[in-house]
Amino acid sequence: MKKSWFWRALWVLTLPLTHIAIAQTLANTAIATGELFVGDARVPSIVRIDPSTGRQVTVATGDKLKLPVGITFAANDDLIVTDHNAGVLRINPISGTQSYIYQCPGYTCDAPVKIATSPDGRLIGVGSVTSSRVGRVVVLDPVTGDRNVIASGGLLSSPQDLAIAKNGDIYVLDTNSIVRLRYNTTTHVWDQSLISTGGLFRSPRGIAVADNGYLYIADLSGKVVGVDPVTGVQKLIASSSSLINYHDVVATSNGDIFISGELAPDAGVIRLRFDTASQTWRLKKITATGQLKAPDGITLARHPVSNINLDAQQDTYVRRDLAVRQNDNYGRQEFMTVGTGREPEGEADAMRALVQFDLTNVPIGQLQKAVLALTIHSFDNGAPTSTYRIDAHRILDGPFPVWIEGNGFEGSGEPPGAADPDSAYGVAWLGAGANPDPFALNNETQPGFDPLVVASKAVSQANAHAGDVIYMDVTPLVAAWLKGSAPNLGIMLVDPTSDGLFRGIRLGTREGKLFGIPGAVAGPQLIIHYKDGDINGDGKVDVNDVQAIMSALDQKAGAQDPRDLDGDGWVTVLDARRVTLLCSRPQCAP
Amino acid sequence: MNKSFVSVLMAILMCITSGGSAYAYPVVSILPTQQFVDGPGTFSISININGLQVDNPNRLLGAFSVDLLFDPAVLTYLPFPSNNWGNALGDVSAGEALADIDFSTPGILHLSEVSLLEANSDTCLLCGGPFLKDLQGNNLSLATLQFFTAATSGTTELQLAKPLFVDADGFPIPLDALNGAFVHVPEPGNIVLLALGFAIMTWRRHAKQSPSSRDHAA
Repeated sequence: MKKSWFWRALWVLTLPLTHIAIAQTLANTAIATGELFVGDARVPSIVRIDPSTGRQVTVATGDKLKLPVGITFAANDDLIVTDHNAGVLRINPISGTQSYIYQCPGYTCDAPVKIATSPDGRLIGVGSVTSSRVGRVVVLDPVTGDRNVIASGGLLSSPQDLAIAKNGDIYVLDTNSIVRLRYNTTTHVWDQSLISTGGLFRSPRGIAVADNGYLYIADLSGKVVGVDPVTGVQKLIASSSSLINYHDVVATSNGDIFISGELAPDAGVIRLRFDTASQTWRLKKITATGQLKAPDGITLARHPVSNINLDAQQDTYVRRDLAVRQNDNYGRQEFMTVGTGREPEGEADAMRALVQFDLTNVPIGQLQKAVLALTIHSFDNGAPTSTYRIDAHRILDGPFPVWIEGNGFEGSGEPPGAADPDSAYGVAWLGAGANPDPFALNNETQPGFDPLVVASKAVSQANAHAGDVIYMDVTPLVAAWLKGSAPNLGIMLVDPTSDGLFRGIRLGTREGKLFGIPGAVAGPQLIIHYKDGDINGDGKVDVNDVQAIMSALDQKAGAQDPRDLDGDGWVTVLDARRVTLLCSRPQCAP
Repeated sequence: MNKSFVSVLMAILMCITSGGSAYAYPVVSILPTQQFVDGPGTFSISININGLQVDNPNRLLGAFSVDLLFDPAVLTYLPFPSNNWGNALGDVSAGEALADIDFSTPGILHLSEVSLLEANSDTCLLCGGPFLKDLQGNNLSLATLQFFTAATSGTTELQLAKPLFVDADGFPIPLDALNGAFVHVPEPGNIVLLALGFAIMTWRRHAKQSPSSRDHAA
């Protein structure tokens, strides 16, 4: 009994620490077209800014972020951040969840300084080889972190930034020049051309390309310079002696330009808008004084973003198939196993997995769907004919109020802080008070679970492979958690079937990628879809979506009805108006 | 004194007693509040929102829906060609707003309109214009509708119900009142007397009304 109080106390003491990074982010909602995201290198943080009001929300701060300098939206709407001292990070723009694409502490590797997304969704970065003044351009694999060099040297010496035009041309801003890279379909190499050099450039730092192809350069000297990409002719757009150190620039589809920088004696973001009446650019500082310390990379949402991808907060498994295993904990293991037992062989439901997600920052208002994504790591024994059934259940209270993932690990490539499964603390099949094994004193017994199956999936061993992802719709459960009608204690994954064989399906855990354990696959993810205004599912928000609501006014809406944007259970003109706010073209043109 | 005459006098009395009150929130009204129709014949009404910015000077109307209730035994809604949506939410014919009148239920018109325009040039994201701010003020005319009455005498009432008024940001607008209207079809002998009495009372009411309260008068 004393042990149980010890583990309760441990949980109370340690859980807030694990939540520090998450708690510092702010609850938020789906992202509208045009919202700005800025990396603040000094805090360090990623800040979301409403371009019309200047209202700021800190999306992520600290944790893996050390010195963010570059930022872009990936094809899946995650933010990709280049960090001088951390490598390249993936950050969910709504929840702020951080993960490494690859880790590169300090200046020890040739990490790209800035990054951009091409029209076909590729991530392209620029930087220099540390040991020499040779600039290079790389294509970054968003999953593995692999970098494929597509251009190096030549006109590239010390690239500062890049922008990618709609036709795929890459404009690299070098020390004092702009170099265009254009793919040569005959030679299959990227040809380099000098577009513009010297002139108004003093210390050009950021570059953006407008929809019409025109280039804008933010210069550390407090200038914004426009450059014709064909002639290379430069034109001074804005200059201010009181506004210094422009760092980065982004151009919107309506012609506005937003610039991040240190604006003496302050720092922040300014907007430049062309006034057709006076034929001049009007400058307006949109951020309040003191909120940003050293804004650097800036990007914007080109369309509504409505998905939150949450990595697991805890994930592990417990087993009972051998008496000596019943106290084991596998909290640091790179996989979690669901399946039958070894002794007696083939006994069903002998290995169960537990997974939990932190929903602290997840808004409830417009939840549409929640999907649990599990990646197959491998199979433990079994046979080609084996078919697994993975049932998801809601974890209940008790005998302990919460379960603790623990630090157990077995095998090679032991991660830091790990202990062997016997001496590890954390959840086990049977722990202190319920297990006579003396090694069970440092473990708590697994929690109970609701017999109701929330979601179920069958997996054939013959047809499934490592890296395959299993998707399970757990929307009702997540909705209950968010509404507070059920406590969020996680999900228990159970296979109640057996074919008489000892068998287990191993699913990736968060520790695999976190600790770089060999052979690791992605850990569990909870993908939360928000209503994004795309009622007819054609991939865009336009008048047809508004019409779809107007044609169904005053109808009752189902729980997941995409037309019910305010979630009040009815389809109304209020929902129609909210869809108009998500349109990506003026007057919701199709 | 017949029944229709009494109801007209009561309506006039209500008009006088309520004419000077100030509202804390917008009011949606049918105008005119009283009208005489030489039946059988046609007549028009308009639906207005007054005091849209009475409690919030920056408020703009983004969408609305409201039911108009009438006695289908007395009145017939004429859907064509007389529908006339106001331009406060944008020009419907130019694709700046979507609007609809559902008259499938006898005695009920369900009006709904949503603007496809952004609020103003300061806060716009797409900035295509025109903007709601340039089209709206404190008092807006939302729609003008035409009816036919076959009656040769009597009084009938038009009422508003189930209002949902939404601002440009997609949030509900609180309302203070829904003001209906009366349509009178007097018997031939009472027409001159009623018209004269109504004109006198209306003149007295307006003469006593202060400029500020006139802003909110229907």
